[in-house]
Amino acid sequence: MTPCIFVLNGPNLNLLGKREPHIYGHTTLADVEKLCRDAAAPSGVEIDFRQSNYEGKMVDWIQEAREKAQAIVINAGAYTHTSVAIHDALKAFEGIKVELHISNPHMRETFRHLSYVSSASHAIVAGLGFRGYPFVVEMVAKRLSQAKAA
Amino acid sequence: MQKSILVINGPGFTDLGGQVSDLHEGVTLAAIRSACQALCDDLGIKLDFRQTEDSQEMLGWLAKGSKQADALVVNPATAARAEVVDFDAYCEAIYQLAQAQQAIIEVHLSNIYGSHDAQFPRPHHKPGGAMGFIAGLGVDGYLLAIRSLAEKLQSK
Repeated sequence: MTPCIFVLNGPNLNLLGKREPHIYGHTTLADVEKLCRDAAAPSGVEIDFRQSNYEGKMVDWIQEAREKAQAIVINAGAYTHTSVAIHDALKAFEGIKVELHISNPHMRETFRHLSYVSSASHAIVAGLGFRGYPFVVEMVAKRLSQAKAA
Repeated sequence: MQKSILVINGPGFTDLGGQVSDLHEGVTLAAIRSACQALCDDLGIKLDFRQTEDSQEMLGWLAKGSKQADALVVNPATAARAEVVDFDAYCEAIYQLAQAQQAIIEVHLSNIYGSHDAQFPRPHHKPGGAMGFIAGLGVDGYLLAIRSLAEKLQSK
């Protein structure tokens, strides 16, 4: 079976490249999806890349990952700072979980300093710009393919 | 000219040298150093890799870091803990670097926010400036930081 990484994106990330480019840059989410696919391909790992503005939909997807994915890379957007439901869903996922942010929430408003995703994840990567996506995906994909070979 | 990266490690790493915790899967400071060195050799970047048990010395390195390297990686280690009085000074040092647009990434071997206890306080950085943050990837976190910074330096 080909290992699979769910790359899940939360609210407003559909506007990537179109809103507040001074914070988020000009790269679109479609560009980011392609970068993720290219980063995972050498390891033979599949990418399922999704975005939703709805919290419940993200919860459904994290539950779906229990059956279909070995890892979740999640940029929960603003739900990071509010969603106990996403925290609980992630807790119920047994694979690798990485919290990802384009900017570093700690360098922004204090209401972004608390994350409900961090305490349900193995790792946090933030503030590397959109390039954080391919960096993280490549690393997770390598770990999955090594685990598969072992 | 050849670009340089300064990697600063704060107090607490002596624990990694002697008593190795399961959390870090047998990671030693020497292993981190050699992994960073191998990557920097590949990327053609000059590496300055340091560790101190003195948090004041760490703050001094941070203050002078911008003059000594093109980009910084810092693992404050136990200096990021709540009970350490220097935490405020550390936050201020980071804030100054971020305001000065210094390319810098904070790295932790483990996910310091992996539980909701207050052992590691949320930093009180003021908005503005940028700093990368990587936690929970073990040695890979350092390598990710170096690759990200190298990319940034090359695009300049």
